[in-house]
Amino acid sequence: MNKRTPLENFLFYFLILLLLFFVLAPYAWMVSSSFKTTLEIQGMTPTWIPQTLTLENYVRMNQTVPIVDYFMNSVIISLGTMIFSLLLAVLAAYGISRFNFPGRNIYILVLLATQMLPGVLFVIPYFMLFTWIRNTFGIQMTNTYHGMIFTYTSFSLPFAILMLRNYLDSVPRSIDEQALIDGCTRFMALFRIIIPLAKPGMAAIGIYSFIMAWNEILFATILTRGETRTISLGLLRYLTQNASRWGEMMAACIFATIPIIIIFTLVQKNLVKGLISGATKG
Amino acid sequence: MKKSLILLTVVLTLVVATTIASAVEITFWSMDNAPSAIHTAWMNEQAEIFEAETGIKVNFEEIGWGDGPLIMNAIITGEGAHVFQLGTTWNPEYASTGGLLEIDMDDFGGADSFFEANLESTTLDGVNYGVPWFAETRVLFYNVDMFEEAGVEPPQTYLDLVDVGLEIVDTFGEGRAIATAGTGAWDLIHNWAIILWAHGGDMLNQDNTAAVFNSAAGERAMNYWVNLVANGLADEACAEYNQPQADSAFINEDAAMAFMGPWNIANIMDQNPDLNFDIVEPPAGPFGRASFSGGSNLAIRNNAPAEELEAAKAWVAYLVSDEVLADYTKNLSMMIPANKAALDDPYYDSELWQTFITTLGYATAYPPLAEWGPIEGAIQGNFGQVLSDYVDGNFTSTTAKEYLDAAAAEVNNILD
Repeated sequence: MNKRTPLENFLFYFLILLLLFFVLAPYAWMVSSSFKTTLEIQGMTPTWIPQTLTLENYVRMNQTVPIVDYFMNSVIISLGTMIFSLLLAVLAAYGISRFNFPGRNIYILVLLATQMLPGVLFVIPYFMLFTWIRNTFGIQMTNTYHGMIFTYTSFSLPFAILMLRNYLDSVPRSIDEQALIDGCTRFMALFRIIIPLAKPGMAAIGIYSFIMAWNEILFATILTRGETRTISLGLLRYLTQNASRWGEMMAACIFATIPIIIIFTLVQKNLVKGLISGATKG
Repeated sequence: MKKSLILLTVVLTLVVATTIASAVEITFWSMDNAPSAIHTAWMNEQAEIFEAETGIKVNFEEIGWGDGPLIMNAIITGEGAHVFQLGTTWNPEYASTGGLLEIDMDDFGGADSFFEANLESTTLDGVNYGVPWFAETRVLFYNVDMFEEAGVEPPQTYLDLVDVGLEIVDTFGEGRAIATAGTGAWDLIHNWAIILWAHGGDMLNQDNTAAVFNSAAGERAMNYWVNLVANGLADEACAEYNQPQADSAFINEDAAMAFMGPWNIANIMDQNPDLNFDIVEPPAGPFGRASFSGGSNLAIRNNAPAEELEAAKAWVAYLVSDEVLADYTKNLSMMIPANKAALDDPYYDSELWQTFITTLGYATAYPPLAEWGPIEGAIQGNFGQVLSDYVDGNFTSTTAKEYLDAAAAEVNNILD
């Protein structure tokens, strides 16, 4: 491998720094603004370093909007979505990966097709479905955690199944066969042998499901209300018709980013491995 | 003795159970008219007082201004609020769904109890479908210190405003005289309409069947608005401002004047309590003074059992009652009570509030049409680019008329 010249090195690191600047500058601005007074944020001369450092935005962010409640709602809904997506995706992906059943290809095609349709098409059908469930079975679905977990799981599932299928395809079938010869049932082989091997792929779909549920706005607008409002909607409430509370919004954005950073940090290694595997086998 | 005691317990349990089963419970949605913590606390406190008086339980939920679809869903499915806040310009559109309860104003103190423009905003085809809750109108806020330093008095006419503005520009520099909203403003139309009415124009014709805002008056109003930037009175950044940004420019003392509503008093107290400001009525045009009348109404969905409808009406009557409403508007929403009797509260005797009240007396509301939402959207969509066009050097002597005609054509399509 050729060694880089000093000029190439300079250009390489300069481009990396430039890229980092574009990626990180909005976050730096968010952090900086969260410590500024409203007057300074809205002033005509923008400043990177707060001229009057204040924690007021952090103190007031939950008084203006009940953002902590919305945060907890998002944690419950996103974790629920992640767990159910993982559970269902692993079963479905294993089935597609290992069994050649009638209609398998059509099933995969349908899964792919669901990814082509814009989400807004499903808003009214979901609302009608939820109303029908309530009227027929007496089960409240709108404005409930289980309703939102059901909704988001159904959104994340097709992509999760396809991605995990690719990953499971990379695990040799001979491993299943050896487990079966050693006396395992199919379920035992899946849960004791295959799933531990598929951890990177599962981490990738787990975080995908979590982030999808964490960031979603459209369905949350229609299907949630006070008790189940999610944080992505809560953040928007700092901008009303009559006032823009940018400082508090920035503070709340930092608060909202914390779980995503923690989860990414925890599963970063597995996530990258899982994503790469899915990409190369696809 | 023991048997009697058991019998008494059974009877008491039955009575309590029956009372609980028959207790009416309703849900009320309002927008975040104040910071959530104090707003929710106030509403819950009022709900408790109301329940103690009537036995009706009210569940309060705060929603955002972007939650119109949620209200529409509640109207269609019967799931959600019994009573909800509607912006005055929304009321006729929601009434046109057939899902709002017809209101007999006599149940709420009579039609004369409310400001005329707000009352009109609750109607569709002459029938009331809401009760006016609070009102707002736009006046001219000015920075007293900047005016004193520039040696000028608050403008009384639109021509005065330009002269005063030029003096301020001389003293403080370009763009410092007035802040106005542009491309990003949801209520751009409200601010422009004030100038339109003062110049003798109107939005629609008498029977609300065609747009007339593309008249000579409309053209004058638009050119006046653009000239605020062209003459250096307003900063070119205004082209990108939404209304809160324009308000902030005034609150930050970057601009000496702005047309703003009463809620901005709370914003000033919160963000820059040292600001030395005052207000005057909007300047007069060739056809006198004019302002926009807005605010919010309370509406009741009609697909609920009769006892819940009665409970909802009782809650609305409670919210618009003099003392409760005055307490809400002066301590939370910082708006003007739509029920005129609530203005007897001494709080509203100040010169500042009297200016708002006087202005509201002649302020105009938009025609109460089911199609008003799309009409407003068509006008906003066309006017949004006007200031940007000027800043980009694309505004010529015919541009105003072109935009007005394009918007009028869209509005006429909607009305057809």
